[in-house]
Amino acid sequence: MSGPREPVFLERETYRVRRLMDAARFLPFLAALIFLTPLVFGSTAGTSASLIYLFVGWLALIAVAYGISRRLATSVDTAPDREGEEG
Amino acid sequence: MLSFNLLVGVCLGYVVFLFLVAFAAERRAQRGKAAWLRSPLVYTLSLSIYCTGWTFYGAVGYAARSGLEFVTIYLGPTLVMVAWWAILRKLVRIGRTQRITSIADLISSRYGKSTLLGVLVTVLAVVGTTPYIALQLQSVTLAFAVFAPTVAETRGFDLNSTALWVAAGLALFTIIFGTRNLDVNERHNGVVMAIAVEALVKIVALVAVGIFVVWGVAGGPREIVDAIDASPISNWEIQPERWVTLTFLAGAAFLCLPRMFHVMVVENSDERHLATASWAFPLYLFLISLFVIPIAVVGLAVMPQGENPDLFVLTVPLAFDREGLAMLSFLGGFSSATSMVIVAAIALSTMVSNHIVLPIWLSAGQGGATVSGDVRSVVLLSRRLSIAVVLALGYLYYRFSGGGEALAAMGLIAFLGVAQVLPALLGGIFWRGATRVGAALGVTVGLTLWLYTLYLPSFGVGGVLTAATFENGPWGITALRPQALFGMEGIDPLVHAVFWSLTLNTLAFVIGSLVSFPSPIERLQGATFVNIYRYSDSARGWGRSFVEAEDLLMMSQRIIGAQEAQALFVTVAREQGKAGYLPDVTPDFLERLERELSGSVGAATAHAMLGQITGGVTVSVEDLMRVADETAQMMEYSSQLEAKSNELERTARQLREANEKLTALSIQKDAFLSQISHELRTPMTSIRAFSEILMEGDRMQRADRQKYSTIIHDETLRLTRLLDDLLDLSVLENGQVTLNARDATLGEVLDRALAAFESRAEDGALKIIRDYGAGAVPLYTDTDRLSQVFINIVANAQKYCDADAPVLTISVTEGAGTVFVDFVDNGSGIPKASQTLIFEKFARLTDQRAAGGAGLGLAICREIMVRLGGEITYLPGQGGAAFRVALPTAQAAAA
Repeated sequence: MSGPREPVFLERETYRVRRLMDAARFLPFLAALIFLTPLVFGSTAGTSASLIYLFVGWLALIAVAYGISRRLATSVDTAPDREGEEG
Repeated sequence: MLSFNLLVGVCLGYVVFLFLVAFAAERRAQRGKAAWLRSPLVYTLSLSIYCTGWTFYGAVGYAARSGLEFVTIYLGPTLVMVAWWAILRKLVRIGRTQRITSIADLISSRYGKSTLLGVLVTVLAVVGTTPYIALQLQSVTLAFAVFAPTVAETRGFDLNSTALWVAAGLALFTIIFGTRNLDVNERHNGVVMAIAVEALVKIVALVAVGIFVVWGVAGGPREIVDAIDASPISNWEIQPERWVTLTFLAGAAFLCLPRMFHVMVVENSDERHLATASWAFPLYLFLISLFVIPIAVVGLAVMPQGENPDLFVLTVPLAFDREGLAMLSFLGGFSSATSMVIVAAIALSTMVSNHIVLPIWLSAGQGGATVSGDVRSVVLLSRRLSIAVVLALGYLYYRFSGGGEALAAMGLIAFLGVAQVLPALLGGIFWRGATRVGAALGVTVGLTLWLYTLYLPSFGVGGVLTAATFENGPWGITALRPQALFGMEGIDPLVHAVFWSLTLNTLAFVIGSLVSFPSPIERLQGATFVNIYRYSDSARGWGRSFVEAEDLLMMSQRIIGAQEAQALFVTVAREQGKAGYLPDVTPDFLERLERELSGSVGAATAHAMLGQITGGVTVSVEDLMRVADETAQMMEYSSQLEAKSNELERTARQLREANEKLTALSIQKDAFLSQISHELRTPMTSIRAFSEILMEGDRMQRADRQKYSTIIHDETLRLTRLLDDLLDLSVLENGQVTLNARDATLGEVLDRALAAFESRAEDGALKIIRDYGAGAVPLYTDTDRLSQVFINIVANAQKYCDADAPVLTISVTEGAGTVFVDFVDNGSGIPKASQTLIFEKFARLTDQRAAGGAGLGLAICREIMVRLGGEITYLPGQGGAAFRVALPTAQAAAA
């Protein structure tokens, strides 16, 4: 704990980073959801529809991963030491 | 049509180019300019060795046969990459802090630096990777063959010799750039740079072919969608169990493949690169897969029946006479195959050399760690030989499996083989209770089941297993049929194998871990790996030993090189506060040394070598307990020491103070004696002089005699007064005084003291202003002594106030249980420096002899006030000399 020098601001910042980490942990579940959906409608929809769905979902996942990792990249070295044990 | 010679020429040119790239990268890295070589982009691109020749050519073939299912091979790794925060980051952190050199090293190191596990994982990796290398050789050979029949001058061209040449070339490249030196971090800049370039080539090639197919052949995205729905591919039906199994399997393999582990963990130079790769690598996979279906659809539509769909990436452009594109596509496939083989060979050779060759060499006594001679050359040689052997195995496998369908299925079979490490790997980094026994059991069970249910059956009925075994199980036990284990019939053989091997593997791992008891070193390693973020240092694995630092230096020089070893020893010695090359052999130092060595030869070997030198003094439970004990003792001892030293300091301070007081008292006593003799001598001198005159002067006039005797009388009076004062003071100081306390008010005491002065009021005399604010305060005190104090203060004011019209103001105020009497005159006051002196004996600020005092007045006042339970202080900042007398009130005194 670095001490509450700028309490409100710092807390908020830390809080955001924590939630980002949560998001990063949740991401694989989102990915699994996207990738397994074709099982549900697979047979009814045409191959091209499945194909388009899958690739659009994939691209969306990449976009989300980009957003999260860009903001988390700065915390890779600084934050993880305490946090890593929670997950 | 494309000339075959041109093709070979371009191919050779490309190889030369790759050599140059790798060479330049090595050169730059040596000059310390490796920063951009180690960018997140290069890291991401190097991960693309996941996409092998099997991907480049095979994905289209797969799509042509099984529709959309091919994409699961890329969805799995995407899942793992987006889970970077929870899994990969931890793996990379462990890899970096523990100097892990391969996945076998990780497993062996986690489970107590076990040689057995290292060997097991290495064997698994070799068995799983060899067919994969064969597959790459096959893909390159097939690609050559596509071009070969089109030219006349290929007489005598032999596909097998192509494979041989490719294998030899790859071995050369890998040996040159993969074993240039024994980098303690096991990083290969040249190789990584070359595979990054190859990654770019393959994605550009595949996307180029895709764009050509979609816009050049089909006529645009809308048309290609129509073509897909019209194509036979659309007859594909999703098979849920295969879809889920394949996605999972691809993800598992992505984590466990030795080559993936190598680029992802071992070659990683910065954890932040993972953040970039977490989205950039899925994007790469996305682009790789995007055009697979269109190429397959167009290929199926335009190519003649029976054409191998695996080669559509090459044959479709050729069919449309796009020779440049076909050439690019060929280079893409070539890149995919070669980069995979290179990294796989490096990873495997590291494992084989560290976990098989070195332990054998060590135990054979050849390299008893104390023997001199360079181990590095042995390690390097064994790596080079391992590379050659691995590639030779791949080539032989290719030759004897005969290529074809059996080989094409190898990709997934190899995936499942290496995935057997998954339970031990994930269990090792997330579960402290995982033990060596559990890991060994799990891997063994998994390996056996994989061999039995998938690997051996892949050689076909009558290949290794007989038709009877397939039909009725071995020795007629139907429950053990390889593709219907325990009666699980009618499901896809791959799903069947994945299910049984990984479930039983995990089960064996968990049960084995639960019932076994780990050795101390395992527990230490387990705690370190699982809590890697908390302690990035490794735990202590060495007990106290009596080895000479010199022996250790000798050994380290042989493994990591003279300069590096010396630098390390000097650093440690300096940290210990010693000069020179030889630090004390502490457990911490041994631990650090072992970690450095394991960067070169792997954890198990490093541990074994150090064990040989230190006489196998590794940590035992007793050691651990002793260490804990020692620590506790030391802590207690140090806290005792601290208390002692505090006490000593206190005593010293008291002594110092006492000494100061004594010195001051001695000075005071000397001063007192000299003062008193001076004070006594002056009157005595005059008394003696005048009495001599009186004795001798018979004719003296009566008036003179009267005068002289009066002087003598006055002087004796003065002497008496002085002696009275001294006596008074001495009585007061010794506490022998008896106080006659009675009730009175402060006003009465003051009035009585001041009456003496008012009776002899004269011109220029002191004017007294009374301001008895709280004069009626009742007191219970010795009124005679108190008025003595008041008289003394007023007399002092009379004597010393230097104002033209001296005025003394007396004011009374009351505090809590205390009453204050302030005497303030309008003179020039007392200088600050003297304010503390005036209450001392014989302290006179000016030598006004006329005042006639001996300088004892205020000293007596102070003593009286102390006796009366009050105090007299000088009150600064009142405009003149000011004294404050503080007294307890009657209630306070009674209390």
